[in-house]
Amino acid sequence: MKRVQLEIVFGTILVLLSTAIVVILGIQEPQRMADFEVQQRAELIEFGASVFTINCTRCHGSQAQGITGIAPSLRDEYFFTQRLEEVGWQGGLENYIVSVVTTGRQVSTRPDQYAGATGTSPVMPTWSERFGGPLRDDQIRAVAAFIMNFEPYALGQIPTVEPLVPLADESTPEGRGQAVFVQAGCNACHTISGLSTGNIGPVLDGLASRAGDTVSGLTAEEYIRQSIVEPSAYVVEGFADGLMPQTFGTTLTEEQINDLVAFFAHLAIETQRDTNAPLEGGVFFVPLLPMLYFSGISSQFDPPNDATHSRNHLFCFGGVYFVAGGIPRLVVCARWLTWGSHCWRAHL
Amino acid sequence: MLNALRRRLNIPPRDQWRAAIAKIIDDRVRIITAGLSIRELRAVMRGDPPTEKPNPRYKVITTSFVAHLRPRYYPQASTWFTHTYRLGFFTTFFFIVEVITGVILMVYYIPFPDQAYESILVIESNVFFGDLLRDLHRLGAEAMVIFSWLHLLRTYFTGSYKGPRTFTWLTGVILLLITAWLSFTGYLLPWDQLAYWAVTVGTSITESGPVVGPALNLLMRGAPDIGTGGLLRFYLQHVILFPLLAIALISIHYYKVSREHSISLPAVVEETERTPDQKKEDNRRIDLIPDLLSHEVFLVSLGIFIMLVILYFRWFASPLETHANPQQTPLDTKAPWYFWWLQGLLKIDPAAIIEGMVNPIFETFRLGFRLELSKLLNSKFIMGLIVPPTLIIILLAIPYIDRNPSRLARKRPFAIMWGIAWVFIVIALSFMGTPQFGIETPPATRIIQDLAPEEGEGALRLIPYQELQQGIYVVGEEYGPDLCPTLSYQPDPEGDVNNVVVGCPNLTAVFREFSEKLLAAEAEGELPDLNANITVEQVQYNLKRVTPQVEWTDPESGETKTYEHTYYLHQDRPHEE
Repeated sequence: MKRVQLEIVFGTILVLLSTAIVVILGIQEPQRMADFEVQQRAELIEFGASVFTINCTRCHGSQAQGITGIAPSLRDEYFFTQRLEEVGWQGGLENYIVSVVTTGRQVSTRPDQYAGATGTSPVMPTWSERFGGPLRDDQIRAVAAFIMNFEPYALGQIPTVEPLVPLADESTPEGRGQAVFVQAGCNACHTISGLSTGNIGPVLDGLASRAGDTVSGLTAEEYIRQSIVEPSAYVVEGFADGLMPQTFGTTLTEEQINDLVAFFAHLAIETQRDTNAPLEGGVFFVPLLPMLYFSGISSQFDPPNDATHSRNHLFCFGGVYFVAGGIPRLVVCARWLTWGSHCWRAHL
Repeated sequence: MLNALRRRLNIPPRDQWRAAIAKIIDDRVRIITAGLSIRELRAVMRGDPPTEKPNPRYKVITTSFVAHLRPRYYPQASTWFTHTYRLGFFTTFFFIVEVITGVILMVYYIPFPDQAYESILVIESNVFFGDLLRDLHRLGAEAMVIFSWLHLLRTYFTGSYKGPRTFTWLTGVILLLITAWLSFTGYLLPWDQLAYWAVTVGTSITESGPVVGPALNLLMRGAPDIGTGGLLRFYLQHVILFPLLAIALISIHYYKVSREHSISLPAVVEETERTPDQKKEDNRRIDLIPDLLSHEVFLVSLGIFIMLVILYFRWFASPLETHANPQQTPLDTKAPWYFWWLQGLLKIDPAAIIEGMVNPIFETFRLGFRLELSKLLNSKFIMGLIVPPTLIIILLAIPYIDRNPSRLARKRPFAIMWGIAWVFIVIALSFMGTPQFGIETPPATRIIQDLAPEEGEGALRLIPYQELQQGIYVVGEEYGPDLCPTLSYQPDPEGDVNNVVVGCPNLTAVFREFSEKLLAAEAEGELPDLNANITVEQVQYNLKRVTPQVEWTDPESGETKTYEHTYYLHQDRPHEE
């Protein structure tokens, strides 16, 4: 055979083999597309679970079980069977979830049961970044997919599994108190460094050091106990009355309340600052170097809050660092070429 | 009467009909093939000599538009496989693959941050052959980068950039840059974490430039961060601007080869004494029709076949990570592998090297001061914006720097050594550019990330869902040979009933590995007062949460530190077998 013929023959064989591969792939293609969709839904639910845990558990509870007085359960039968009818939503439940999460809720539909009773308290914030919230649309769709995945639990088709109790030292009142703090949902509204990030009620760090002086005549422990059982007896300045559920006195056992009080007192001492630390500190000053100017680095530091002087050159900066009352503090001042100066203070 | 009509309609007599019809068909064929008759076409396919004189096969080259771009013939010696390796041909082949698959993908792709990733998912899940097209496009892109580099190396080592081909070399190097930029702009389009952060890091190099740096960065990104504007800019560069530039430059590059100076002859043919027989064979004409064309058709079918085989056996698959998240920087950002050399360059800090060399001398002579260059020299600026353009300029200028007229390897030892050295330098830089090289990760983070990287698989994600028994598995406690002795499951629910796995071998193996690594780190003093566990919780009926958690006392500050990472694992998640 001549070379031309050989090449034509082998070329033809290769084209036929390639066609065969494409045909085989084509036969498998519908199955592959279906599998991909199932896997995609699985990954969406996984992603939604992590988004939910970071953003939603504060009000809706760590298992989406809801928190009395704050936000409803997203995994009960009512939510999956009657909610749409009650609010008059025409589309599906998943779309409803996407819609509510996207825009948030301005006016509560059930102020008697959840947040929104006084009219001043937050109901549900807007979550979509389109309306100033923190979440992207794909994250919201993932959250909706995750919530929809509760359906077999909610309708009782599959029995729920008891959640694991968080690892806490059960032998001490403080350790049991920490578990109660999470189980009763206190963490939804109150921040304790390293444990919770709630922002509806006051921060509880350092509570023991100030609890004794808040209300005259009450010791720290009495004040903490009163705040749990009768929250309206004394309301911290800057917070509305009625935000905190009034029912903890009845829903929690006496023992649980004792543990909680012990926990708060214990935690507060740990986070207290060391006020006897010696004063120490230092000063630094950095003049502008020509090299920084010519390489454009000094224009990276825009003057704060000033759009008109954008890309102005930083001229020099300096600062003072010192520790006072056990708290490290930093003051940095900067001077721009044509704009002026600015100082920042920080408590580290 | 009938004869009169026949004469009037110009119908030939019955015995001449056959010839007349043959002539009509032949005329049509000649018009379509730009001059080849049916007989000639048959001779071409059979590799026979021309049937007419003058040779009608050369006529095609003057009459057909497509064929006129091609050379009439190459001398036999310049078509040696060991001389060209068909590298330029395959680079063009992959470019055409990219154009065809790219145009189809453009139909489904939406260049808008909110929808880009979704549209990729739609291509994967709802477009027939969508996955195949995306894989072909990605494979073709990487192959095009490889082949253009190899083509450059071939041209360099055979000295083919000399003499009349200096300008062709110049256009070739520019084409290499265009290829690199095309692949880089395409890298962003899937809008996943991989793409977003690789391009964010890549474009940030320009930011360090003097005076125009920030402006240039803004011009590329469309905003301080890559968003709607940035994606659109990259998309338009990828689908319009640079393909057009590439087509223009490929035309110039190829026209030089086909019309001006042809493919270079091997140096042995050009510069050594050849016997008369060899000379005759060297100069034998390899005609476009049929020899070159049939060879090219064969190469194209071979190229398509190899690509399909690679994809059929899943030896290559285009990656797709999770949706781009500007708020979360992944632990390691991966540039595409063909840019690792650049990433390696960026890890070099020239100021520190000069200081390391100069300061010991200063100290020996007790000069009383130290050189502190790192405050003056921005390593990102030097290694990102000064060094690579300098290298490119050197590459462009090679024909003008190298004045040695000889192309024989043994007569240009310096150029050959130089070339080999650069190949090794680029390989070494690429190795330095791999994400793991020279980056210190805290031990707890490293151990958890080894177990389950943020993106992609990993031992933890490969544990079958059924084995994830709820519980808290504490490092250092004795558990017996299996973590869940009471568990047993059927790996394939629809398959053999007797095929049952007892216990949870995979979970146990992962936990063992996790424990061993942590305990080893504790023994080395990296993680004192170690307190670690893996928690497995049931979140929903088909979803579990796995949290590896490490608590230790920081050896330097004495503070208690924790690192944990939460993974959600769904029953239907994709499993690589």
